[in-house]
Amino acid sequence: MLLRFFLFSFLLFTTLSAKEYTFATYPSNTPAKIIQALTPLMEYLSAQSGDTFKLIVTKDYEELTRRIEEKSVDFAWVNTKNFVLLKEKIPSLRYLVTYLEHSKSGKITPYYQSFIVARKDANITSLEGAQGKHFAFTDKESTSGYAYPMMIFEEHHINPYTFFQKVFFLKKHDKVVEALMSHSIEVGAISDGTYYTALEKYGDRLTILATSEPIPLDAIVASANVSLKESQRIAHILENIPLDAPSNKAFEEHLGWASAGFVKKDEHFYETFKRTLKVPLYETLQ
Amino acid sequence: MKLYNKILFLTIMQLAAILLFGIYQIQSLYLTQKTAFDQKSLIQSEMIQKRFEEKLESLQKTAQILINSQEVITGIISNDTDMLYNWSKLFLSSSIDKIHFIDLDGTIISRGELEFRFADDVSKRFYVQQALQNDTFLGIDLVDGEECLVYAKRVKQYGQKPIGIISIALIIDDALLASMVQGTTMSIAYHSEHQTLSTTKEQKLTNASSLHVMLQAGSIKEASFNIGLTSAEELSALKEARTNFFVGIGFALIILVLALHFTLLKHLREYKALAQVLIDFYEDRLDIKEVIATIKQVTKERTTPEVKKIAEALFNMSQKVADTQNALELLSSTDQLTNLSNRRKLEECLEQKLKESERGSFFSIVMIDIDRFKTINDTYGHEIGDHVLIHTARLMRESIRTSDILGRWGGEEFLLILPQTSLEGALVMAEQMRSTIHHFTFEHYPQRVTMSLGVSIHHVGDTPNSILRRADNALYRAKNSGRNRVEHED
Repeated sequence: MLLRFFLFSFLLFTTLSAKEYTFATYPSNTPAKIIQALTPLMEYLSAQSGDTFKLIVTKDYEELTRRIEEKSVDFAWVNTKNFVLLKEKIPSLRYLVTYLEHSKSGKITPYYQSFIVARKDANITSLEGAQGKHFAFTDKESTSGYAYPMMIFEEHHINPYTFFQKVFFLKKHDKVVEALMSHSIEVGAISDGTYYTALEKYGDRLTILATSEPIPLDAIVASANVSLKESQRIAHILENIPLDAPSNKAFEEHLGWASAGFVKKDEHFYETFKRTLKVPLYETLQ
Repeated sequence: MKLYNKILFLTIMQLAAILLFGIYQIQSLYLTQKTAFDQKSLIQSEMIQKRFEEKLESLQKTAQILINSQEVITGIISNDTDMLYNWSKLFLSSSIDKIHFIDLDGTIISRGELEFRFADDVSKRFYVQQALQNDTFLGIDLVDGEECLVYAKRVKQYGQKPIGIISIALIIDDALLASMVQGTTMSIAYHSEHQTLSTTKEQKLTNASSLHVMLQAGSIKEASFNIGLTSAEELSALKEARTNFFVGIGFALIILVLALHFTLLKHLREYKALAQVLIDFYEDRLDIKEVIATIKQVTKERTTPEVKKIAEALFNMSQKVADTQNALELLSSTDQLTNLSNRRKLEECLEQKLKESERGSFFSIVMIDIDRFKTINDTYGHEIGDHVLIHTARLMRESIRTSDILGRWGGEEFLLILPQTSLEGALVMAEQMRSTIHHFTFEHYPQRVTMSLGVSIHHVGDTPNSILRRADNALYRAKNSGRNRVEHED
């Protein structure tokens, strides 16, 4: 009888202590695809933690940043640039884990790269040869779609805003590919994952003009809403996602990401990105 | 005026009056309908004009909304193709086909209708140049190779600094034209140097008029919208109905006149035939017997009951007239006492026989006189004298042939005309007659009555007087030779 009382009390306590968390991410792809890709992860987290994880896809990076600042979200999937900037801005932001991916070499790595690509039929063989062409970034808040490509241009002493005839911002990586295929632009900056997806979709129609240094993959962070202990518990759950988990398969299926789960790195892991912030912004009002 | 003409004239007058009234009514109806039709066309034309203006207004309003959006301005400044695409996508509609954001160099930053087609140069396009120079352009120009109604306007940052152009366009195609005339009976045609569109297959619009639009002349030459009726089918049907009515009435009039003409002819001919019989009788072209025969013929013929009744009445009347005439004729040619032909009748007969003798016939005459008749009268009185005359006449009549003519020549004198009879025959007849009288016993006269008879025959060239004189001479000789005897001419 006493045992039954304790079990009931435990269950009651557990139920009462269960929380509802908001998990936000930026629109790296169309919101519908992102929701389909991340829903299994939310289900996994809910199942493992006993809490409820509600997914939110923000309109853009800016909204995601604002919502983290406002603490209207508990956890967030942020890209490298966002993480670095947010961490500087909100020191209380807690780093949880870094996304892991199967690289094209077959290794599981927390890095990816940014490519400057050109349409093959534009007959551009080098970055210098792309002068006077139409170019597209994804978004100024994008790590692989803007920050690292800007570092590449810096290394080549190129101001894209004057070097190219026109610079466009297409927000999403796959849109850069579509614009290239539509002959609207000749050159664009995309992540390596987007490039390989395009390779599969359209064949070998793009030339890689330049490659960035390894970019730390996206991070999952917790806002100050979440306690340290709770953060660590969730980070632990994320680290232990099996390779064959439905969440990894959903990433592959809906986003084309060869997901391999998450790894907990040191916060200093992202400090290499800070160098990109030193790149002078050549952007000028036209 | 003849009855025929009267009836025909009156009927035609009435029909003509009905026709004129009908024409007036139809013409009034036609004019009323035409006015309504014109009014409807006018209203529809104004409706189409209004729709066209609304489309232009829609272009301008959309451009104005986008121009006033800070996000759009930011998007143009930062070449944010995606943001501009998302904005423009919201405004594409049936009234707007194309939304383009263009920078000051004439490069397209974003196309609302094609997400991944941008960055091309449109600086040479007339509407872009006009917008850059004059702030706005509202007109027709080629946008991406398609003729469009274009509204292009410069976008300014802080309302001052030009940063680009927004062009809103509506493709001029069949769908646009169809949407403008939807629900109307009108058609619209668009003609330019590049294309000719029309909502109708008809080459020419009826009552065509141009849309009144203040559009800038662009690179498209001679571009114009014309609206008009697809076909004046409605009006044509009305016109046709009117013409058909007129033709129908005219045709009916002709048919009626002809029918009337023939009906009148048929019926009046019967009346006319009867009337003509009466006229002929009156003008002595027919005698009463011929009249009777003609009318009898009419009554036998197939004719209308009315005419038949009239003919029967006329027939009866004619019959009565003939009877009366016969009675009168008989009265005028008969001796009242003896019932024999009188002297006038005898003279006519003699004349007739003389005429017939000219064609080869012959005859004889016998002049008869009762002997000493004055004595009978004086002795027994006139009553007995008349009795003798009556019975003598009867005996003589009974002794002659049907073709012989016997009459009282005067007093106690008689004349017998014997057609186709020779002298010998005449003498036999005369003798037989004398003998009959001589041997007859009168009821009231106790004595014998004798007669003297003088016979003469016809000679060529005879006149009534000549033949009568010879008979009279023979009679004289019979008297002189002792009476109660027959003598003949020498």
